[in-house]
Parts: sequence; C-alpha cells; structure tokens
Amino acid sequence: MTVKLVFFAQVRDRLGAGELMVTFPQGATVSDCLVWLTGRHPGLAELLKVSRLAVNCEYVLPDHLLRDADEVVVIPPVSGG
Amino acid sequence: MGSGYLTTAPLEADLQQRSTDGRDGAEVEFLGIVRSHEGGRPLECLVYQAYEPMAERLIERLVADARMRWSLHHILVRHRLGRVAVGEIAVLVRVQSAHREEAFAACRFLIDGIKQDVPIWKSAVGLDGVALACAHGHQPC
Repeated sequence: MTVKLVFFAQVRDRLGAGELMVTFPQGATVSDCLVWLTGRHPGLAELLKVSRLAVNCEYVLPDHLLRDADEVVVIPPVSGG
Repeated sequence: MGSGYLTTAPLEADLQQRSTDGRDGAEVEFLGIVRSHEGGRPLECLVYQAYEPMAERLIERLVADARMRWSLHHILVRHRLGRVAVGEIAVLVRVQSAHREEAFAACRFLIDGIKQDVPIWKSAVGLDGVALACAHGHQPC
C-alpha cells in the first residue's frame, strides 16, 4: 500500500520536501513511517523521537495501522501561541 | 479558512469588537504578543505556520471541551498565521461568563491547550531578515 507522508516546520525544512509518497507492506503501522524516515535521514532521528503522528487530522498512537492512501502527518513539537 | 480560528489578518481589530450581554459578569482576555528579543537576539518578526485543517479541528474541540467543563457565554479564539511583527498580537483568547472563576479557568485551559497540542509552529526572523536557528525549533523562539 502507498501512503502520503506530510511534513511541517523543521522536519519539512530539513527534508527539503513537504510530502513524500511511500509504499509499505500490509500490516505496517505509523511507527514504520518513522523507522523508514529515520533510516533515510539519520540526522532527523532526534527530532523524530519527539514528533507525533496524525492520520486524518487526529493524533494516533505508534501502533495505528496504515491503510492505503492514508495521509500521515509528522507533527514536530508545536510552538503556537 | 475552516472554522476561522486561524487568520493572517491582524488581531488588533478584534480588540475593538468586544460586546457583552446582560448575563456577563466577567470577561477574561489573554493576548500573546511577539517579544522584541528571543535568547538575547533582536527579532523582526515571528512567522507562524499550521497544519490548518487539524489545527482548526483541535481548537474547535478545545472550545467544545471548555463549554462542557464550565458555564460560559462567549468564547473567542484567534491565532495569527504568517508574519507577525514585534509588538503585534499572535494569539487572542477571550472568555465571557457570569463569574470570574470560570472565565479565568477556561481562558487558561484554552491557551494551554493551544500551546500543547495544536499543530502550529513559529520560526523567528532576526533584524537582518535571516531566520534564527532554534534547537529543534520548539524552543520559545
């Protein structure tokens, strides 16, 4: 299945991209997205450790199952206000 | 822009547009204002970005939660996006209720919830127009 990873703030700045399409095997979870990203960009490891993930505009737990065409948003520590 | 909690327009105009009704005995307003310095470095502005659909949804939920927890008459939440100059209002939370206790509590609940969970990020721009680096970007820059 293929999901869209979406990035904001310093994750987007460091990656130089706002989104990436990535294919995962059936049964993959959102934490697999972080493992994949960390593998491709080891320099982001520390930042990804403190980032949260959202699917369909809701925060999800690491064991949340991915579905085809999901939009998975990486939410680095927020700093509004 | 969704429910309209996020805006690129200045919030100073909202200060003039307050109205109360006969039930209101208290109004508490929090303004978050851009400081002139961060970490000893002079600032020109902050630049805010958001994951807008999720930010609108989470602020809507915070407002609904506040209404469940306290008896409130009116709630206004507005957060700037884009460039916000030093001295300008970046966020405004206003709560009106019959008595001060629930107005203070709800206002605090709302601004704390925004700062903790809502996907909004700021970056700092120095007087030379160059972005100031922040560790992880989640320092109060």
